This record gives sequence, C-alpha cells and structure tokens, in this order.
Amino acid sequence: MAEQAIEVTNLTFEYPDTEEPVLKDISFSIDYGEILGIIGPTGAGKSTLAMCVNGLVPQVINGEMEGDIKVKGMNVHESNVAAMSEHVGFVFQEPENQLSQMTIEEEIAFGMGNLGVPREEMLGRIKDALSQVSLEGFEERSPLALSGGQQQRLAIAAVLAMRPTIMIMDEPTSMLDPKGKNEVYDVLKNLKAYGMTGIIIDHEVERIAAYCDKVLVLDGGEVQMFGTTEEVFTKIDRLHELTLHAPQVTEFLSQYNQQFDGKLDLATTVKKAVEVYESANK
Amino acid sequence: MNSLYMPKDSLIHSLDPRTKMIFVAFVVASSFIMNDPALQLLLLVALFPLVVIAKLVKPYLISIQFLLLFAVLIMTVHGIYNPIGVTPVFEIFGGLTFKYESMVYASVMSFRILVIGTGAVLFVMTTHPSDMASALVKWKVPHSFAFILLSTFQIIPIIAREAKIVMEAQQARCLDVKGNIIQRVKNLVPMFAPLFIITFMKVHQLSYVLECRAFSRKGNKTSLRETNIGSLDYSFLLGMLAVLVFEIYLKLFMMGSLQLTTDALLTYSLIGTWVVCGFMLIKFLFKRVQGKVGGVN
Amino acid sequence: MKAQTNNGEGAETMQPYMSVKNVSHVYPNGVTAVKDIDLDIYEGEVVAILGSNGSGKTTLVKHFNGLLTPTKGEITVGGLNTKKEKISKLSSLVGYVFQNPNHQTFLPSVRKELEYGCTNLKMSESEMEERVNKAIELFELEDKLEDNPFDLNSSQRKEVAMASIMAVSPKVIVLDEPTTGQDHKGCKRVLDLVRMFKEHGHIVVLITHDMHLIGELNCRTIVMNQSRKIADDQADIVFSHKGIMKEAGLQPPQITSFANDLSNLDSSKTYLTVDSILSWIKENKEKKEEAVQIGSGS
Ligand SMILES: Nc1ncnc2c1ncn2[C@@H]1O[C@H](COP(=O)(O)OP(=O)(O)OP(=O)(O)O)[C@@H](O)[C@H]1O
Ligand SMILES: Nc1ncnc2c1ncn2[C@@H]1O[C@H](COP(=O)(O)OP(=O)(O)OP(=O)(O)O)[C@@H](O)[C@H]1O
Ligand SMILES: [Mg+2]
Ligand SMILES: [Mg+2]
Repeated sequence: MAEQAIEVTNLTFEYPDTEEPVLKDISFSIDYGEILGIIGPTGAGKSTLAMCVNGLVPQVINGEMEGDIKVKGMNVHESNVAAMSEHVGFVFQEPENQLSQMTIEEEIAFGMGNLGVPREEMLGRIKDALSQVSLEGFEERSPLALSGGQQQRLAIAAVLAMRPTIMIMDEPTSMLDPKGKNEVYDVLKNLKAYGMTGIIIDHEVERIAAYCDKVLVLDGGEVQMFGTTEEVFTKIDRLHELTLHAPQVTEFLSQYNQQFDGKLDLATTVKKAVEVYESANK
Repeated sequence: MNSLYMPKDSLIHSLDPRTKMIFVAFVVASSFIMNDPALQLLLLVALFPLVVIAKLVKPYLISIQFLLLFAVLIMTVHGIYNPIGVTPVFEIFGGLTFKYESMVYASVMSFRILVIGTGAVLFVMTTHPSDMASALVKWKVPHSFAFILLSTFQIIPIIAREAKIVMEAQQARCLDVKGNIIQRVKNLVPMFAPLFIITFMKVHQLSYVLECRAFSRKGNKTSLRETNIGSLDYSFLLGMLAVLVFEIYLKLFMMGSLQLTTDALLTYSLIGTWVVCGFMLIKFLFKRVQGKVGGVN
Repeated sequence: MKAQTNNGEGAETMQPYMSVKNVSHVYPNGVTAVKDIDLDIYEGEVVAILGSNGSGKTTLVKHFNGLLTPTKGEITVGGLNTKKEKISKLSSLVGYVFQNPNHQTFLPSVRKELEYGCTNLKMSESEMEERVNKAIELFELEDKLEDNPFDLNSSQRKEVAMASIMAVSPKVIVLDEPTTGQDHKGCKRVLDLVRMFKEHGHIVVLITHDMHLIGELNCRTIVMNQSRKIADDQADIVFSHKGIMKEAGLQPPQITSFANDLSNLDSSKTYLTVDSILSWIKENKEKKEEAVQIGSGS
C-alpha cells in the first residue's frame, strides 16, 4: 500500500486515572485528499483519538499508549507536538478555552508568529482567515467580547491561518448557526481540492454524510464501523444499536420501506433520496 | 476593565517597551539613590508630568490610591512606634509622639513605594503585553520566560471574566451577592470554589492549545506588532542618563550643604497623606450611602 | 408576518407573563447587541429564539432574570420591573441554565446542590422539601442524591445543574443552546425535558441552532438578526418563509428540504419531521385506496 496521509495501527490508550483503556486496538487509515468523519456517543473516545493523531496524547496529556501512528509518513512519537503543528492543525472542542490574546488579529497571528511567518504575509493571511469564517471587521475586538459562536469561528480561523496540510477539528460547529456550519464544511472541502486531509468530529450526521468520504464510528473506545459514508449510514439498525442515527432522509427511506413494504435503496443525501423516492413513486 | 493595559495615543505609549523597562529600572535606582524624603517627593512630582503626557491621570490616581493607603499606614505606625526615633516633632492625642528619625525613615519608605508604584503603573498601563514579551525576546530572554510573563498579564482578564460568569451563575441560583458583610463572607465559597476549578481547567486546556499553535517550536519567531527603537527612545534614554548623573552628583557632593528635610516638611507630608486618605474614605462612604438611597427608590 | 405574535386563542384578554418593551442593550465597549425589541410571552408557551451567531440572542435572554438590564426600554416579569429587582429575586421566577455546570457546582452532594437555591431564598423546611422532591422526580435523580457531583460524568453533571435551577420551581426556564455538544441520546433527552417542563406548567425559552429540535417542537419561534427581531411565528410558518430564513442564515431540518423537493407532497404544508411525512403518505394511500374501492364498488 502506498503512503497514506494518516495511518493508525493497533492504537490502545489509557489515561492514568481510568481502569479501562479509552481507546482499544484502533486501526484505520485515510489517504491524501480525503475527509474522515468521526461519530460516536458521548464519552466514546473521539476527542482522545483525535489528540493521538497530532501527538498531544500522550506527549502533553499523559497516559499509556501502544500502537503506531504515522502522519504523512512521519512517526508521531518521534516528533513533538509543536513541530507537528506545522503540518497538523487542531481545533479543540471548547471555543472559549482556546483564546488567549488581547485582540482578534493577535489571536490569529499567534500561531503564525510561532511558525515564523513574516509580518507582511501575516496581514494577508489574517484577512483571508477572517473572511473564511465571516468575522471581517472584528480585528481590534477582544476575543472575550464575542458571542459563543463568534468565538468558535475565531478558534477555527486561528488554525486556518497556520495553513496546515492536515486539519483535525473536534466538534468545530457545535455553536455555529446553520450557515456557519456549512461554511466550515465548505472550508474543509476547499482544502481537499488542494490535496489536504481532514478529520472532523461531529454529532450532526447530515453534514458528515454530505461532505465526508469516510466515516468512523467509535463506541466504548472501539471502532464499531469504518467505511465510506454510504456503507456506514445505510446500516441503520447497527447505528440504532449504538444509540446513533443516520441522516434524516436515510431514516425516512428506511421507515418508508418498513411501513409500506417498499424496496427503496437507502440514500444519504437529499438529492439522491429525492431521486430514489421519485423514481419509485411516479 | 479588560486588562491593565490602557490603549491610548501618546508619546509614552509609542516608546519601545525596552526603553520603558529601562525607565522602570531607572526609577527604582533613583528612589534608592535619593534616600531623602524631600528629594523623593521631588521625584514623585517630577514623574507626574509623564502620567499627564501618557493621558492616564484618572486611571493612575485610581490605582495609586491603594499604595497611598500603605503609605499612610507606614508613616503613622512607624512615625510613632519605630524605636530609632529620639527627637520628638509633635504630639497627638496626648502621649503619642511622632519622632524625627522614625518619620524620616517612614517617609523614605512610603515615598519609595509611591515612586516605584508610579513607574510601574506607567509601564504596565502604556505597554501592550505582547510587545513586552517580544521586546524581552529581542533581549535574548528565553521565549518561555517571556511567555510566562505575558500570560500572567493575559490571564488577568480571563479570570476576571470567569469570575463574572461564576457570579452570574450563582445569582441565577438566587444567591444575593449584595447582602451585608456576613452574607458576603459566606458568598466566598460559592464564588471561589467554582472559579478555582474553572481556572485550573482553563489554564490546562490553554497549554494544550498553545502547544498546537507551535508555541514551543524551535526557530525564528515573528510578531504582528512591530517594536522599533527610534529617535524618541534615544532622547528619552539620554534624558534619563542626564537625570541619573545629576542625582549621583547631588548625592555625592551636595548632601552635606543641602538640608531640605525639615520638621515642617515631614509634618505636612504626613498630614497631607492623612487628608487625601480622609477624602477617599468620605468619597467611599458617600458612594455607599448613595447606592443605598438609590437602591430604595 | 413581521412582529406578529401568535398567542393562541384568548390572547387579547390574557396578560403576558413576561413583557419586553422597546428594549435595546449596548455593551460597555459600544456594541449594540439588542435593538428595539418588543416581545410578550404568555403562560404555557414554549418559545424558541433562532438567529445567526452574534445576533443578540444570549444578550436578550440574559435580561429576563436581570443579569443584564436594558440600556433602553423595560422588561416586566410576573409584574416586576427587572431594573428595580434584585437578580436573586428575579431568579426565583426565571431560571437561567448556564452552559458549563462547572461554573456553579461546588457542594459535596447532589442533594445539597439541589437545595442550594431554596436555602438562598430562605424558604421554610417543608416548602423546600416539596420543591426539591419535585425536581428529583422530574430528573430521576433518586439514586444519585448522595453522590458528589464531581464524580458524575459531564452529561449527568449538566443535568444536576439544570435540576438545581428547577428546584426553586421558577415559572420560566431559559435554556441557552442546551443541545450543544450532546449526542443523539442527549438531544432526545433535552427534547423530552422541554416537553415535560411545558406539561408541568412552566414557560420555556429556548435558544438553539439545532433545527431538528425546533422541527420536533414546532413551537413559537422568534428569529433575531443583527440585534433585531425579524420574525415571530409558529416554526413551520417561519421555516417556509424563504426570505427570513436566508436573511438570518437559517436552514430548515434536512427532512424539510427533502419534502420541499418532492413533487407529490401537499405543497401547502411544511413538513418538519420524518413522522409527519410518513403519516401524510399513509393518509394519502388510504384515501387513494378508498377512492379505488368506491370506484370499483359503483
Ligand atoms: N484527561 C483525562 N483524564 C482521564 N480521563 C479522561 C480524560 N479525558 C477524557 N477522559 C475520559 O475518557 C473517555 C473518552 O473521552 P473523550 O473526551 O475522548 O470522549 P468523546 O467521545 O470526545 O466525548 P464527547 O462527545 O463528550 O466529546 C471519557 O470516559 C472521559 O471521561
Ligand atoms: N461581553 C460582551 N462585550 C461586548 N460585546 C459583546 C459581549 N458579548 C457579546 N457581545 C457582542 O454582542 C453581539 C450579540 O452577542 P450575543 O452573545 O447576544 O449573540 P448570540 O445571538 O447569543 O450569538 P451565538 O449564537 O453565537 O451565541 C455580538 O456582536 C457580540 O460580539
Ligand atoms: Mg469530545
Ligand atoms: Mg449565544
């Protein structure tokens, strides 16, 4: 197999104060230009897994780890988080804990400054990043005087400005309005066009189904399902067993089949679902 | 209040942080060289125009109030009780005598607090924290040390905000934060217990975030804010040097012939600080009463 | 449909429980976060507030228990003017649930957490017991009462925080983005709780970006945009209004877009849930069959 963007093999991880591993024997890989969606119930270990990929776990957040993680062919153990951050951007779950600077433009400049981006280039990148998350005109504002959703947008912009080639986002849209959620996924999709790779954790499966190439379902620290978006979301019964859900249109088609003895194929996006339903009900 | 830094457009603000750091060192040095109450008073008066130039008169006066409280305490207690005093100057409430030597000692000490305080306030209020950090880095101070200093300043507004949220959250549970003094003491637990935990968690989280923003990466770093030493800085530095030379000259050759510290000066400065403190107290009480009256209507 | 209220029958004669009159709020840094809002909320209502990030939703609801006071206009809650009352007093009428339970949890047991609000109100022992027991029952906390809240997991702690607000039995309950970061089960739980609060006679004010939740509730929905109220109507009516949806950056639930794209559904109706489409199809099929039977019978 050719070199993959991210390769995780037999990863097991345990926090110092837990009795059981929070990640158990996890293996998966994603290729350059792919977007992976990770879903799973609360406490499944999604965030922990994401932090393993950039080395934050176990280098900064301690614990016992076994297995191998390779990012762009580099062994994550042999590098350190700060060095990895040139390649891997990481957006954390809670927006308000990610902001430390006095103004919004400095917040975005902080990461770039650590990477040694020249000042002239910074100004351009700040502008770009702010427009990507629709926060133009807020440059001088204090990050503490923003609404929750605006803070989340800023946290994303601060990572985008570092121009990573691999983007990991942990529930980056939890506080965004619907338009903002779409914008974030669009940003991922645009990056993909440049051959960049993304991992996104989210509880809303509709957008995962529409934007991601692959989906990994995590529960109890184990990989329950891993495959293309279609493969995963059409196994509705298995998802329900895990207290998860498929996109609404898929749920609809499945229930339609059940109630009216239909034989419709399960589609996962609005467009395909309409086609499927219309062709059966002419 | 968002931070200690007060963004204003002034000559002092536009000085390079390094110049201002040297300035703080200069103020500290001067306050030790001129260990005579009269000269220190002079120094304090001489610093005030800088506060005016920095357009910080009001915030300066507010923050210096607290130091003044110290000064009053030191001057009064030491003036009466410090055993080095022998020569009585004046007496209050029968029996309590202020002695010359102890008053000199106390004035030097409390004026020094005020002088250094003024220098520090000038520096902190006119210098952007990240400028300070990048200036230190230019001086080859280790980046992580500069950062610790920087985050100490940045964490203040963050904690202040968290404290506000905790207070609001407890008020939403029907806690009356404006009760009497006993009530307020009781409220310390519901306020500080969550604040402590939250701050602890936040600082932890923030350190992970910084790591992911390449903070401890080796190699060249850049900053959005530019700091450059210009002609203004050089003239300021020259000015300081001149004053310093003059101070040393004064100290070495003039001390004997110059006798500025008189009983009257000491007495007036003591009474002066009392009066100012009295004003503060009255203002405080007045506000409280006004608050009470306003609350009833 | 702008600024029209949908108060149900008899609303003209009924007094609103909460009334927002021409309220604006300007933050100390000069940002106008809420502008000229008029809003009446009545007994028994569930009111959702939608709108884009930074449109002023949180700022508006923080006025309801006095955490913020209007810089213009006034708000009355249960007959009290919020400018003149203490927050602690208003909080016994309006429960405001903060997002992060860690901002408020500090007592060593769940029971003490629940009792805390009532002790602050200096309630009699018997009254406190009655109210706290009601909250315990509502949140099914019977077997966790002696646990330390910090030993619970994050979603349980969130629920204890909510229960501790409900334990003083406020008339109104304000939830600011209660489903943020929750998994499917958690979102379902929030939906059930909102319905339960309504059944128990509480008014629920709900801010959310979760369109599925609104779809399920199909409640009165207020849309904010750039500090102003731009719509106030039943959710299905708001969702069918393309102009308002676009202006406020909203998007109906996926199933609604799906239904809109289907050609053979009743296009005068807006479908907000999977079940509503299924039951329409069912009805339609039955009607057709009836028609066929009648046709073949004659
Ligand atoms: N620093 C830590 N120390 C000890 N245990 C932890 C730590 N962080 C997380 N855990 C535990 O590990 C498990 C997995 O946590 P994780 O945050 O990865 O879950 P998650 O899938 O991201 O959940 P959510 O959807 O709520 O974000 C949980 O049971 C959690 O309590
Ligand atoms: N503490 C504050 N100081 C100054 N301005 C603020 C403060 N909090 C919020 N704002 C500003 O006020 C406006 C409204 O903020 P608010 O928090 O009410 O928005 P919101 O509708 O709740 O948004 P979200 O969906 O992101 O939570 C925004 O433009 C925001 O930047
Ligand atoms: Mg997580
Ligand atoms: Mg909000």
